[in-house]
Amino acid sequence: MSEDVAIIGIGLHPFGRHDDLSGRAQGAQALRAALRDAGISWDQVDIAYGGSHEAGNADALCNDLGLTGLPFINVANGCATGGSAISSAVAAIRAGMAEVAVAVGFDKHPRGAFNPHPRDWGLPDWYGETGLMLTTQFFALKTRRYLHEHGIGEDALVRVAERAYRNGAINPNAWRRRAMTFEEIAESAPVNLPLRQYMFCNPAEGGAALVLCRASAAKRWCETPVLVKAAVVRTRHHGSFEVFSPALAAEQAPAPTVTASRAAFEQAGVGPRDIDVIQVQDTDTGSEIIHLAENGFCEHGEQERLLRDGETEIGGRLPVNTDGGCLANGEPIGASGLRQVIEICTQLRGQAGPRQVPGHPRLGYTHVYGAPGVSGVTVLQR
Amino acid sequence: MSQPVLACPGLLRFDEGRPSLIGSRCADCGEVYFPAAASCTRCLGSRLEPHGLGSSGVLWSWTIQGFLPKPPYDSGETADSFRPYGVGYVEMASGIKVESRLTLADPARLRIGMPMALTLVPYRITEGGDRVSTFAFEPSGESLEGSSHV
Repeated sequence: MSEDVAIIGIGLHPFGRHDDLSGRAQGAQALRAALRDAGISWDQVDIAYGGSHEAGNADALCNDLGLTGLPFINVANGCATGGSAISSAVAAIRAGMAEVAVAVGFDKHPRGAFNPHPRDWGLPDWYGETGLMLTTQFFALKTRRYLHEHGIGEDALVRVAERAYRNGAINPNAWRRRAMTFEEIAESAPVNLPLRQYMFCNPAEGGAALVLCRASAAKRWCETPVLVKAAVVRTRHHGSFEVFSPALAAEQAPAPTVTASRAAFEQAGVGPRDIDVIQVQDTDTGSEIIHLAENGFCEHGEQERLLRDGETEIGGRLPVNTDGGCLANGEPIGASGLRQVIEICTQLRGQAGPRQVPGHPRLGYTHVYGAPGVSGVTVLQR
Repeated sequence: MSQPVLACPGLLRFDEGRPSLIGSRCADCGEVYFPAAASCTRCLGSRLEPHGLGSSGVLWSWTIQGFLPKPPYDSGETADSFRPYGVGYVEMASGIKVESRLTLADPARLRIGMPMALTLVPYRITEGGDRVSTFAFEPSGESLEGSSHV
């Protein structure tokens, strides 16, 4: 294995709704904050990877930050865009292409986005026209089957949301900052049963950026570098249950999350039990439940008990989505995966304030999942 | 009854007016696809043949579409006139699970494992007044319960 890579700067433009700011402006603010955090100027950056789903070319950030001539690669991997940007930045440094790299993402989605078009995904028109091409449907269908196969009650779907909003309430950067009662969530409007309104995250706006460099050089810039022990992206195999599937194969295969997670743990030389603080993709509460097991943090079916016993709380054995996750922060697609990495860095630096995981966490983990079946995973170490 | 106008004409075959689904099957490894595919994502082969999937199966998962989808959904309904519809995966005899609208949208009457039969539902009325149909599955009652899938 080649030399480790370190994160030396983090910057976030808080997610939510910012009517007076373009997506790009939010990305530029996040990027300037990350550079300031690292104590590096834009002309010292050798390469950048950036993504935005609906707010224009990420490369346009150069018009704000400065035209330094650096290679800027636009990344477009659905909800896994941020995970793809960081893994590309890490690979560039490891390969010796760059000493200092940036991973950045931003977005600005209209209310009630997204409405995908079948042809963009290699699918026939009738699939969209007849009302089958909705991400919320997929999450509900996968969740319903998963609860059935593993004997999990629907209360678990409520408890995930309860914890997300509870954590959001103590995160000054969160969008949803009001804790909600079990009843409020359980009785919210049915969207795609078994999933209800407050069990889904919303499309949002925001920006997130990281500055990375070779680990051996990190101390020059930063007193508290966070090592990237692994950053892995994997796509689906034949037979896995993915979004936008008019049919599923007779024989089911593990999700890309499973293969990405295994590869990441192998690269990092640690296992799920070593991880002190966790971010998993929670576009909806069913997805978080599934992703906890797919990433190896528990057995399939164990989630109901973990949630009921408070083990996924900030003070629990497996602190999950300590900043409120997608549920409390919303999802600006290009930035969302990097928001996860920023929260883990904040926790490993001991800077998370009232939501700080106790006991000086040393190892953290992030996971994103995106259409049409892409997972990005990182293992991070103080 | 005249032949219905279909949103998805290539997907169905009619035998004495009864619809069944058409997909494809890999000539090399036998994997079944719906809708028909041009290449096999399992064995990487490219010899695919038309293959009938039949017209019955069991409900594998389900949800209720509770809000009016955005375009390209083209039912012509408004947020006020929208009526929720069921969506599910139905496991066919070969084991493939086909995503489909369901004729039922009542959570109390849907359960995983219930036998289902293929039918058509008019989901859209054109400006000219034509009813456009798409495929859907409906509960097929107890008569099919226990029918074995081979």
